[in-house]
Amino acid sequence: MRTYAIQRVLLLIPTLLVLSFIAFALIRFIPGDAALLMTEELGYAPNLEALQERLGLTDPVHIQYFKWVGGFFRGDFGRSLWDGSPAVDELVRRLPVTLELAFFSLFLSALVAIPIGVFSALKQDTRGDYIVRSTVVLADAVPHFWLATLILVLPAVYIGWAPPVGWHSLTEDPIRHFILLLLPAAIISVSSAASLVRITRTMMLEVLRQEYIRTAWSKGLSEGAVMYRHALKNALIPVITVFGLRVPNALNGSVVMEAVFGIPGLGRWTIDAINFRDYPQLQVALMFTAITVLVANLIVDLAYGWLDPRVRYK
Amino acid sequence: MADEIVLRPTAASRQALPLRWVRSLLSFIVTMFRYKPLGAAGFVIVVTLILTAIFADFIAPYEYNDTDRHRQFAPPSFDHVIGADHLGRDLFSRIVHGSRISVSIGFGAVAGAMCIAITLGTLTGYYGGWLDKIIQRFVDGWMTFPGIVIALAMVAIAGPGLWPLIIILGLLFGIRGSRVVRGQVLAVMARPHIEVARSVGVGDLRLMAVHVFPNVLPLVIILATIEIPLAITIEASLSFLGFGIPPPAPSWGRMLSAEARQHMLMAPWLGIAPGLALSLTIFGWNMFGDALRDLLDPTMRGSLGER
Repeated sequence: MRTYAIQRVLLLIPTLLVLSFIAFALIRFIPGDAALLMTEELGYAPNLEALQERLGLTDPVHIQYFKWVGGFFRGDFGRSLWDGSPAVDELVRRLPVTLELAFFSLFLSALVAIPIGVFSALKQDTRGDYIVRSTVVLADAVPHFWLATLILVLPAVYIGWAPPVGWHSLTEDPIRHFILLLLPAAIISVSSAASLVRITRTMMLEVLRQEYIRTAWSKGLSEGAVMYRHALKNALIPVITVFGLRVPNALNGSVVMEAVFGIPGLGRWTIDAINFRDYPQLQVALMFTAITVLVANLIVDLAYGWLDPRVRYK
Repeated sequence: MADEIVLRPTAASRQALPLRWVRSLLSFIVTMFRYKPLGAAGFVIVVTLILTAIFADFIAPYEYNDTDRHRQFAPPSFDHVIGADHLGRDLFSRIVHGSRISVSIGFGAVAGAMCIAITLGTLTGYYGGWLDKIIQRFVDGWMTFPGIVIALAMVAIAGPGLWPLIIILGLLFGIRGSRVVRGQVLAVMARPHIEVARSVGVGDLRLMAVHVFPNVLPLVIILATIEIPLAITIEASLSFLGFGIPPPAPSWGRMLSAEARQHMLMAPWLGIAPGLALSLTIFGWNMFGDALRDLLDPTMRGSLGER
């Protein structure tokens, strides 16, 4: 287990290099650079070449790449082309916001979906099960942003009240912070909850057919003990995987919700960076979005081995 | 005698091929209507969507860009079934025309994606070697980026618009799909009929096209039905964020965007109808895809999270 964990962490290094390469290369294809935007559209500087020189945009591309990756290993993620501030300063403000939103939404979806999935499996083919299954199917089809639009607009039109929108820092006012966060997180959680309900139900049904469950019943254990101590524990292992697979989705949702609710997270930062051709900022934003996914995958893989002793790593 | 064991279809089956296709397609639809009512409902929605896109000019009573100051925010009425927007454009006509964007994105992006996935997946799976190893690391990295984030960066490169989006989403899903195709190619390559074909001197190209590809095809169809609604959702999300298809094109996502939200306070139907159309489309594709999956491959049940 420990060797596997170490191997798995070491394997992150080549993947990180590939990520940095993709992030870097992708951005160089964007037509027009920041210097062009500054001189031609905003008139910040009279001379294009001089500005490009100052921003380090005239270096050969591979030199720029190695400079950037070299800096990465020293913890220097480059500076914003616009205000010259280290990108890392803004990153440490933005990343936690997005992580909080994404993982809060995943937490909410697990909180709601697992009990519903278990219920649906226990009441298989009853009216309750059908209601759950059709709700799941509908929830899967509704895009996040439409749900957000409806929730913001309809109450405002019909009862003259709109849910609060915005962002409050955790340290200033924790209660307000969570109130504001709840709605976007709940909206993102809908589609994840749908797939979690589905997988929980499927796994529960599969586990309930196994022989050790019959043994548990025949020992005379109570229903609660059979369901929760014996069945649910094993049924949840694949659910963990799906949970991990939903992380990119939660980040996607977070990009959209940050735009809708004006939350100062990584998603809005990415969009701003694209609009302003701020290469270092966009590179860092892309890298850290991807790193979040990588780390989540790593944790899921390791958790799998820890939860299921039958899983043996080679 | 050895000549009898040929690895090609018999004359009879070859002759009847088009007819067989039509017949199996028909029996497939009948099976779906009989055993998969939800899948059949999805099928009906998808067919309706496609017909709407084809005949949009005949169905829509107005042009999608037909502005009229006097009809501004007109509520639903006989003339304007679901009302009009802030420029007095008939909402129903815009939604009907918007189905064209949805259908072109769905089919266009996924057709492109399948071409990329099949080519890349088959070549890397078939030849293997160091090039495959390098490409697989690249695919790993590519798959790590959340879809909307990488699509945003690519829109910055290619610019907004229908065609750039089709290419972007095609690349996005194509590179991801190549992993699935490659896996299947590796599995097929281990089957005995490939070895038999090799032993009678079938060349690489023919082996890939005639003996590997048909075995990968069902999986590719399944993949396509999963990716079509995803592509439609991503297009709508990008348009919603202002990065997708520029106005005045009637993209459903754009109709729900932030600029449009202030108008919804005056005319809530502006916020409801496009979202309903979008959700119904995604619902239809999801249900149709699920049924198709169950019928094509009984071993693949349930669905995991998608990216």
